[in-house]
Amino acid sequence: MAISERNKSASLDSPSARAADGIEAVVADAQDLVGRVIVPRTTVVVDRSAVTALAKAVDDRNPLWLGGVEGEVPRAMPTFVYHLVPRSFDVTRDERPRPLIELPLGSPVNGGIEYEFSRPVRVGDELHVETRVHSVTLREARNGRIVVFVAETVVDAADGEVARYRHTTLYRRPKQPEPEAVRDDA
Amino acid sequence: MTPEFSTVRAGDELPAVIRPPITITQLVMYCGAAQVFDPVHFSAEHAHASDFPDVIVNGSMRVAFLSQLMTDWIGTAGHLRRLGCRHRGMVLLGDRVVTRGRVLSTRVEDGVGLVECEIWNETETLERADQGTALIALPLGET
Repeated sequence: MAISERNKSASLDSPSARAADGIEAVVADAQDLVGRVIVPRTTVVVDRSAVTALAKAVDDRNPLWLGGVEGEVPRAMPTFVYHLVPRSFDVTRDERPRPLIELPLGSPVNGGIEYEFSRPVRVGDELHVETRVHSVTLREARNGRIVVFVAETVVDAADGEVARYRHTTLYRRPKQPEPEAVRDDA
Repeated sequence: MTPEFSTVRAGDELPAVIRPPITITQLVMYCGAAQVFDPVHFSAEHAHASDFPDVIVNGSMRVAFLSQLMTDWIGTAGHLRRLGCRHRGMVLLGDRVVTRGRVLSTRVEDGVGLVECEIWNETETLERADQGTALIALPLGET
C-alpha cells in the first residue's frame, strides 16, 4: 500500500507510487489529495463536561471555561476545537492510532499548528467540523528532505465560521540499510 | 483582568505560566479528555518501542499551554484571534514546562487594539520546545 487514509474515497494507491520508491513520486501522488475531504463534515454540540474535563487536564483553571463568570455561558478554551474531529480507536488493542493520512515513508511527526479564531466557542454551541488536505510539499531540512503535509479543519456554526486550523505533519524517508559490500572474488 | 491596550508596549513580557513536572496522571487525564489514545503518551513501554526516550507529552497539550498563556493574560474582554506554533523538540514525562511570551507589536484596526506576541514553551533542556506567535484583540476603552 503506497498511501492510505481513513476515508477510503480519497485513498491513493497509484501505480507511480507503488513503482517508485523516490520521495518525489510519493509527493506527486499525495498532491492529488489536495482539496479532498479526509474527515467528513460532522456536527457536534459542545458539552459542558467535555469542556471542563479538557481544561482540568491542562490544569487551566480559567473561570471562563469552568463556569465561574456570573452571567456568562461557559466558554471552551480556544484549542478545544482541535478535539471536535472524531477519532477512531480500538479498545481491544494497545496500538498507536493510524494517522489521517499514511504515506509510504517513516513514522509521521507532529510539526505544529496554526489556529484562527473568529469567536469564542460556548457550551451548547452546535458546531460543524470538516477536514481537507490543504497542501503537500517537499522541503529541504537539516537532516534531509521531508514531506510537509498540511490538513485544514474548518469549524462553523449557524452564525458563520467559528475557527479554522492548519495542522502540519512531517514525514521523512526511513533510513535505508547500508548496501552490503561486494566481494571482488564473488 | 483584561490589560488596557494603551498600556501595552512592544517588548513587554507576558506573565509566565510555570507548571509542575508533567505526570502520568495528567497525561492520562488529557488523553481521556481529548480522546487521543496513543499509548506513547502514557506507556513507557510503547514509547520506547517507538524509539522515544520516554513517555512523550501530546503536541496538542503543548499548544494548549501556549493558549493558556494568552487567555490568562487577556482576561474576559480580550479575544485570541490567532495562535500558531512549531514543535521544535520533544517534551517528556517529568519535564517542567514554563510558558512565556513577549509583545512584538501593537496596532489599531477597525476600532480594536491588536497585539502581536511571540510565545514559547521551554523545559530544563529545551529553550524553545515550541515556538510561535499569537494575535489578540483588546478593547480600546474610553478615550
